[in-house]
Amino acid sequence: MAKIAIDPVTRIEGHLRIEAQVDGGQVTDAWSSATMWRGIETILQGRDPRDAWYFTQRI
Amino acid sequence: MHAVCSVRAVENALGIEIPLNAVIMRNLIEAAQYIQDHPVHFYHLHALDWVDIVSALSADPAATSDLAQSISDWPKSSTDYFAAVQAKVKAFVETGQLGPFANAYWGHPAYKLPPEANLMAVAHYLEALDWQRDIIRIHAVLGSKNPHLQTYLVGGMALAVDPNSPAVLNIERISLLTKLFTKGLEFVKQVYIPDLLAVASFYKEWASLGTGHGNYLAYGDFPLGVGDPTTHPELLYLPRGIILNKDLSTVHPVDQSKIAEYVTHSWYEYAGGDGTSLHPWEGETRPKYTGPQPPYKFLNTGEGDKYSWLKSPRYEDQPMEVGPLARMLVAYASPDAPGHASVKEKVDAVLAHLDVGPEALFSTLGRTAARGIETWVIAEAALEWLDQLTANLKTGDLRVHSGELWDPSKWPAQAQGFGMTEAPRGALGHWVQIEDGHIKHYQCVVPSTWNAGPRDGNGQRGPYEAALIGTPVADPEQPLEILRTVHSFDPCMACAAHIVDAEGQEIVSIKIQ
Amino acid sequence: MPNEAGGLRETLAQRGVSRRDFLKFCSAMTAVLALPPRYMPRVVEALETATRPPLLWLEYQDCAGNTESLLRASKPTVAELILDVLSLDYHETVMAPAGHQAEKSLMDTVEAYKGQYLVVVEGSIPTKDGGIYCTIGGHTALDLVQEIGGNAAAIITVGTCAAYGGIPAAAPNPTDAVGVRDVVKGVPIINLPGCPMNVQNLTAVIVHYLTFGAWPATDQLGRPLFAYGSRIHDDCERRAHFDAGQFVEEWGDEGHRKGWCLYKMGCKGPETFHNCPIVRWNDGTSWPVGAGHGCVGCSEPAFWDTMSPFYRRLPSVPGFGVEATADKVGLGIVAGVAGAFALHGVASAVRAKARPLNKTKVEVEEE
Repeated sequence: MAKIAIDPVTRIEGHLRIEAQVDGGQVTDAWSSATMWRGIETILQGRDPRDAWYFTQRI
Repeated sequence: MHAVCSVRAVENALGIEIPLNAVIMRNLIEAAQYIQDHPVHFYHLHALDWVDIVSALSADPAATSDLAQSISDWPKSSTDYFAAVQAKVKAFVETGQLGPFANAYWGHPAYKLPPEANLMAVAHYLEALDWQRDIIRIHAVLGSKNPHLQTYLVGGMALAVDPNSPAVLNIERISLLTKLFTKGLEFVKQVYIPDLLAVASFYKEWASLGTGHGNYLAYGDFPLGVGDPTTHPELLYLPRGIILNKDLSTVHPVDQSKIAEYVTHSWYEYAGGDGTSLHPWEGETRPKYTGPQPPYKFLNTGEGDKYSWLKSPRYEDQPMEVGPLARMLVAYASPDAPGHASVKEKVDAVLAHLDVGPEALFSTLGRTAARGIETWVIAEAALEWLDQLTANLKTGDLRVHSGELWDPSKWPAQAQGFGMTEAPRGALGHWVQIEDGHIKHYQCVVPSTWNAGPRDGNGQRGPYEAALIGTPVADPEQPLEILRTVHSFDPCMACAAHIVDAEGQEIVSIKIQ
Repeated sequence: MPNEAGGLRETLAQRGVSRRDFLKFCSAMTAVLALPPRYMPRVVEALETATRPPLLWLEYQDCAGNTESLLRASKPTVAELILDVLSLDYHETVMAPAGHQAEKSLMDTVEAYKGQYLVVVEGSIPTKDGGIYCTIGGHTALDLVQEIGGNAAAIITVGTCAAYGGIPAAAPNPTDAVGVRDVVKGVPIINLPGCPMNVQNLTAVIVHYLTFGAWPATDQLGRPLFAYGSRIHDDCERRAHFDAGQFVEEWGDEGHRKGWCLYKMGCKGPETFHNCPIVRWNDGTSWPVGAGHGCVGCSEPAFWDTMSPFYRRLPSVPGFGVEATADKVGLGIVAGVAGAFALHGVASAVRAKARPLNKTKVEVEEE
């Protein structure tokens, strides 16, 4: 019985962490965690809606 | 893909209908994204979960050549070619600097491919690196550059068209597009699909692993004519719909008002309590980090704990998987959709080749196969859409933008709208509220949030979490099998981890436990 | 370092790359760097004998756009870059191992090559609340960039986020995001802003380092002059239309179809320093103004706030169509944002005098 953490999960875009409970050679429970936050929609508030696509493209 | 979703949301809010040339150009850009992105995922992000590079060193190049020629008529398949690739890899290994391939899982018992299949895959890993660079020039032609194209406009596109002008999208540029899309389809049919089938045939046990909840959501995309694609799903080549509990006999309609997000296990708090869920229009974002103080070894994952920057989107309180598998299943089960025939033909062909039934699709392997099938479908359709563009230009229609509502002074004091699209990774929605010419509220609910989000207020796991249950792990120190299922979703966490609301937010101070 | 015996030339020869192709690559690099042709032998010699320096690519608050850009490299290609030129020991998006094994790759290089390895940073660094808005392996980005970056031979920031904070730092900067220069001191830092950076400029910087053992000359914002020493407006293929007073008035109008100037549609080219019009994008296929959309100034610090709304014309000046206008326009915008942005104004003035003498067009090779 072991709890493991995979962080960073590589070969993806962005930052993902997986924690998993492994019992008897298989996963019995798992937790998926995003470990980065920027707040882009907060940044969009009050701006020109015609600019929004350029901001959200960077999401 | 966020760009097109955003302009659609604003166009929906303001009631702007874009010209046919702009509709087609957006479709072609999105198609090129699929055609480039999916093979890059397969070869560069996912393949090393199945392919052992070190094993390729012991392959027989002649036998590799026989294998390659038995599955495809791709010309680069001679004994000399594979011997040269093997020599390259050997020389690289002998430098002692393994770079990104050091400390990996080579020799892991879960690797099942024979050395020759490994060598073939390594050769195509390298070929695909060059191929994708060329294919994505489609985005430079239509979007000025990639990454981050820069020709979108609310109301249309900033790329002028005129068959007779040197400075715009003209016949010379359309010829270049034809060449690139053709090259794209060739590689998909002659390399990607045969490799996918070859690899899958050695890993059929993964057709019954990694299933998860069995609920699938697709917004659909690729409008074939003029009209708001968000409110006219009948225009869409790939259809909109929901499949529940793996039941392909019924496709349920999508009603955006039934989407809501929980923060019960996310590092935010809701004014009405963290057990409630809120529709994107009503969303709130107050970050509230309650995780362990870095550096930490494990997160707090007890029953009441928060453990992610993702919210948990739900449709009528049900977790939904989004992405190529959801799109292919919905199209497969929607006989009236324009893209149904092409999808069904290819799905059936792949299932027949692997000698499995449709139930095999609800799996890690099914997810990976659906991505390939979809690339094939879209690569074929894109050439038709290019013909559609040429035919429309022939009528003398050179419009690329609807300018009547470009000037914000012509907008209503208040407006709200939403846009739906399908990014390569799945269903993407943007919700916008506009007041006095400015953004009052903006929210995105993105594919990797649907898939990678944490448990919700009812304790239901997110799709990644559910799909991982039952995954075999031969060695917990080398969790290769977990990576297989996670990668089958093609995570884009950069996209996912920003789900916040723009209205009235107040970034509160954070207490570290 | 390993690979003492052979340099890039030898390694390439083993991979079947001809000497002719190798020289073409060196020639392209010499051109991108705006070096006189007589420097080409030095570039050739350096690349023939160079070992593969370890490179650690660190991603923090990013969208992976610069990683995507890396995959578009053609001179050399990304495969050549990874297999032949550098030892890319850590890059989360491409590396095979994950979790503890990935961390081992990182720390092995940090320990074995202390002070010798190169670091590339993509994405900004959040500093608010102890940095908990970005963690990797349970460590904050802030701790990681200071430890790993602080022991590097040099740091190259790719993209405006890593250079200056970028979009996460746009108002109201919810996570107090900053660029690398704000948190790492005592190490040479080369900034390659842009959204994303043009990979041609990254490969050129690396080749410059391998060739001369030194970093290219930069402006006060840390940007190499070969790539950021000239205004978009001055190198723009639509410039003649500006001078002639021919402007696009509406999207898709006759002027738009004829490739006229986008100044009235909000183009920020007059106040943006970047070599987009010269090297273009995706193997020279196109670039934003060339395609028909205005420049948004993505290589300038804080452009998300100072250059937006993107479709608003730069402060209007009388006398369109005269050669002096661009400079007046430039002064106009500097004055307009002077309060928050004084440093930029100074830098602009410096840069205006520091244009490279040698503007070489890069040859575009069709396959």
